[in-house]
Amino acid sequence: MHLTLSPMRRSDRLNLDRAGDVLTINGVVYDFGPLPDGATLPREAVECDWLASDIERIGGVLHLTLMLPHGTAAPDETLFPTPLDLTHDGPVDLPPYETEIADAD
Amino acid sequence: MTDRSNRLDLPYLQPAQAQKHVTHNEAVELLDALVQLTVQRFDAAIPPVAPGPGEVHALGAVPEGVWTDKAGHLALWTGNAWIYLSPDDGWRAYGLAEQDLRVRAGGVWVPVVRPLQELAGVGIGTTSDAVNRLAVAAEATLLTHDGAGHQIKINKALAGDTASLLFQTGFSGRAEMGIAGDDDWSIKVSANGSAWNTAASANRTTGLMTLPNGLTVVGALTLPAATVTRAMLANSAALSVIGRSANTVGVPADIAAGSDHQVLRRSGTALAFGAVNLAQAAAVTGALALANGGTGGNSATAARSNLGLGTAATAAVTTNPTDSTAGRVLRVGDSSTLLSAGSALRVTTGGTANAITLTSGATLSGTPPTGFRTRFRAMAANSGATTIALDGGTAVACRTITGVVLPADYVRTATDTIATFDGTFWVLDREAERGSNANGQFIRWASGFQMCWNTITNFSDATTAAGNVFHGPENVWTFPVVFSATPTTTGNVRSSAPTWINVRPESVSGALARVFSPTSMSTARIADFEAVGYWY
Repeated sequence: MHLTLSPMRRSDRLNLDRAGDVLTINGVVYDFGPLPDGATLPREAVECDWLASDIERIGGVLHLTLMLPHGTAAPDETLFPTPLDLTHDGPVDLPPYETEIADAD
Repeated sequence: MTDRSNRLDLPYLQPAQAQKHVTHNEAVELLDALVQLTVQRFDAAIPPVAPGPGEVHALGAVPEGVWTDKAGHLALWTGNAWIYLSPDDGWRAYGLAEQDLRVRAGGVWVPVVRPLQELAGVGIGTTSDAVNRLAVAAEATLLTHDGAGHQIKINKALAGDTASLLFQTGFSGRAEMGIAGDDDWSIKVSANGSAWNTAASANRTTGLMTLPNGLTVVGALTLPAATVTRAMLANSAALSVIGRSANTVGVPADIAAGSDHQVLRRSGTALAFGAVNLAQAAAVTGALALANGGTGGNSATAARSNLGLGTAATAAVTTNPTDSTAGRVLRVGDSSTLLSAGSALRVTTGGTANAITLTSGATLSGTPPTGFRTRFRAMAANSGATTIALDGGTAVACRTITGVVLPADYVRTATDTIATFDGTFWVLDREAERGSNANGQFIRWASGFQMCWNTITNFSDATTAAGNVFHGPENVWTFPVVFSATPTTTGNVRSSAPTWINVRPESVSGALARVFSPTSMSTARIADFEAVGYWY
């Protein structure tokens, strides 16, 4: 699964969990298994606010873009993220929402 | 009957004696010499060259000349010859040379009045006894000088004996002075003649006077300088001086220093060790130098000058957090109210993201004064409705500067938040938030207004015919920041050719854009996009 991240300043969080062609986004399960190779699933066809592109299967690999939320002081790896190639099942390790800062007073 | 008398050896007249006058005259001549016996001298040794008629000499033990062999005799010159008489004990004779009346005793002439030597005792006006060998009963006894000084000597045999003068009342001892029992001089007194107290004693070697039972001086006591040693004032209390602590005339006593660093001073009506009250004008004089921790001056102006202080050093400080008296210097912690109109007051932050606690240090309990303003740095961004409790007071709900409940992330951690209490709510103001990411740039204001934009190279071509124009596909522009409601969007194509773009907002997070051209345009163009709306 080839996952492109589209950064966006917002307050809510994104949690992903992958199991093969099944992607769980913030607890909502999306099964892209039925999508045949070479086919495209339009973005409008999927009711998911986090989806920022159509979904394609190219060479057997799913390609899609999801919004990546971040806070006021996020690191560059979040602000300018590189695509992820998910090969293992389980929780997806996303770039951090915000850089941890020391207590300021 | 003998022919001579028994005692004076005078010749008797014999019965029928012829020339009785011779015998009688001899007897008269002897009587003339012996009656009212007067000798020229006693112990005579050398016969006179021309003795007078009737001269009598009492010869000594070794007479010379014609008197040889007549030792002890009386030599009577009859006018032409010496007659020698042998005196008996009991005879009395007056010596013209000695002017002394003597009596014959034991074969020698001894004075009738003997010298007062080796007497068993002498009693004058009274009777002496075996102990009191000299006894005088008189109004006074005079012992005076014989042209110069005069001493009375009382000698004892050994140091352990007593040589003293004893004063008595009714023959009961009351005072005794001298060297009694040893060789140190002492004076002892007694109330009854049996119990004695030593009033004073003087060491025979050092001369040191000791008064075992004390000393009372009624009149002036004059002591030579530098001779009163510690030993003379022994047994004072530790860390003390001798004096009078009470404000009355009386017995002096130890005045002890009870604690370190105390000094002896008068306090009220007492003299004691303690702290000096420097507030009292009489406690000190002069100004304590700067080098000794003082100000070097005795006026506020001089002190401030010496200390290098400015004129504000003499101004009064505020007395409470809301003291607004003109001219006063603000204390730390009193600034909450007075500086609330400015931005200088910053408080410390605690609590949680949505229940913030602030501590001003001014102890502002309850609800803060209306108009009170402060600023703080949040520990965490809020996630929704938020309250603030100041100095442990009431938790008060917060509002944005537009008067609504705080949206999530309104309170920032990267910059200070300004809080103003309007009497009902804490109105929070925040710095504009500016950011960028792969989807463009954005800026977010406290008012809720938000704007974002992006420039996308190679956005799209326009090769699909539609009537008299060509267009490209409708591509997605994901906003770099989310809006609270769908914003309005615009876009332009960076080209000198007659091309344009249509951007339609699709949601709070993105828009769809399509490029148009009057001719088929196969080269993708650069496109600029903007979106304007609210973030809360």
